[in-house]
Amino acid sequence: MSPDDVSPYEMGTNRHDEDDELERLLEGSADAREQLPELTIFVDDLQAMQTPSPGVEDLHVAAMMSESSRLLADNGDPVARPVSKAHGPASQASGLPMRRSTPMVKLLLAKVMAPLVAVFTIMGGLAYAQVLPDPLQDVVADAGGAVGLDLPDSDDGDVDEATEVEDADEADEATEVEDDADTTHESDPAEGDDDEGATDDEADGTEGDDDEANAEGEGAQGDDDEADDSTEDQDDSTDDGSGNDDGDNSGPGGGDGGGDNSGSGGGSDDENGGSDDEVEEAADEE
Amino acid sequence: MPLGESFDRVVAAAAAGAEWAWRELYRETAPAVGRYVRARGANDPDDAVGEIFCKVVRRLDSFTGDERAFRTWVLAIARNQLIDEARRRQRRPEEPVDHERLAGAGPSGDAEDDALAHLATERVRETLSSLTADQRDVMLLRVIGRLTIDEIAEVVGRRPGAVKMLQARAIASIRSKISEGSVTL
Repeated sequence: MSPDDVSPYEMGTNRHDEDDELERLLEGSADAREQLPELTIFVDDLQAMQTPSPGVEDLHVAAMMSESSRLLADNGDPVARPVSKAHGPASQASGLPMRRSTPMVKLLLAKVMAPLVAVFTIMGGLAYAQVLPDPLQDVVADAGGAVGLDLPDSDDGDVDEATEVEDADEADEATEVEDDADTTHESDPAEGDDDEGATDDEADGTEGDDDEANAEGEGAQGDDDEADDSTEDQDDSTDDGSGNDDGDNSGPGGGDGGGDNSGSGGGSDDENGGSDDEVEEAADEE
Repeated sequence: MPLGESFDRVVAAAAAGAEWAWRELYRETAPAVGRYVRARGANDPDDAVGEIFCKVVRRLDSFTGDERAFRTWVLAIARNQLIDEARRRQRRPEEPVDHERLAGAGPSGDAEDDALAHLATERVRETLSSLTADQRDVMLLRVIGRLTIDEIAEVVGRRPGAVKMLQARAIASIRSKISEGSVTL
């Protein structure tokens, strides 16, 4: 096979030359057009083919701009923002949804603890006012004590009531005794104010009896120490109401050593006895 | 008209979303892409060109190089787009109406230019029908895209020597076909 039997382009001997000729043809060389008339026709036809229509250029550019805007939005540029993050800053415009700021556990705890706190507060207030039923009062008092709150239990309310009742009885009895003594003294016009009885006792040398009375009165005072302060206040008010206050209960001596009306029932009895002695002594003197 | 030294600035502006920059790049490369797409026989060349340039927008971040490299890169995207379209047509055979014939049937701005362009397109397609697919790719990229042998080798994924061989055989077939008069001039 000789080079004349096949096309020179098939033998591969002038591939570089034909590429150079094609390049010159593409550059518009007249020599190349003459040497390659067939290729010239082909190249002219290719270059005469219709390019994209002028009308579609705007459509294509608009599509490219839309694509570019979408890409910029995906990269966080604020050209456009997803609806879910529209209120966020530009740096987070296309980011993933934020993690829940408050953990679900905290929300559940808040939902559970809020009613508990409200109930405990209400029950604590009712327990402090002692308006709860006794079992519930004890339960609330114990619960309050566990957290350091001093809430009264049902027993505290009973003791106060009992003390009030006892004090009221004592006051009534003392009032009655005083009334009796007043009646006795009133029956004797020579007797002065019964409040001055202690002075009379001292003058009469009946101090020994008074000492006993004082001793018993002190015993009564000891009992009083165990009593509630509020009870004393109530006793005072009771004495004041009777108008038969014997004066300073804490004063030393004094004919009415058992003058402490706030004492126990025994004290009142001694006082009554002392008053009887005074009445008898006054009668003897007369 | 080549962008020259302003190419880098235009690409940077396009990456930032400037419309004028995208229009410059489109006008610089769209004619070659359009001719390449028509010569390859795309059903809807204008739509194919639009798809190709949307891909260019999406992939611009991955591009590095000068103006010639950009031209090569865009034509490579166009080639891959046409290959994908051909595969889709194989999976879903359809017989769409040729848009070129539809355009020729209806009125247009310049009837003479449209007729000449349509005639040229018919001749090119008839000539290219005698070539293999690889030969068609090499000749179209060489003539329309004005790519070098090395650039064509990069686009088609072959060695430069193989590309030269394909080009030589394609030229021989074209000369033979036209000289025989099988292509009506």
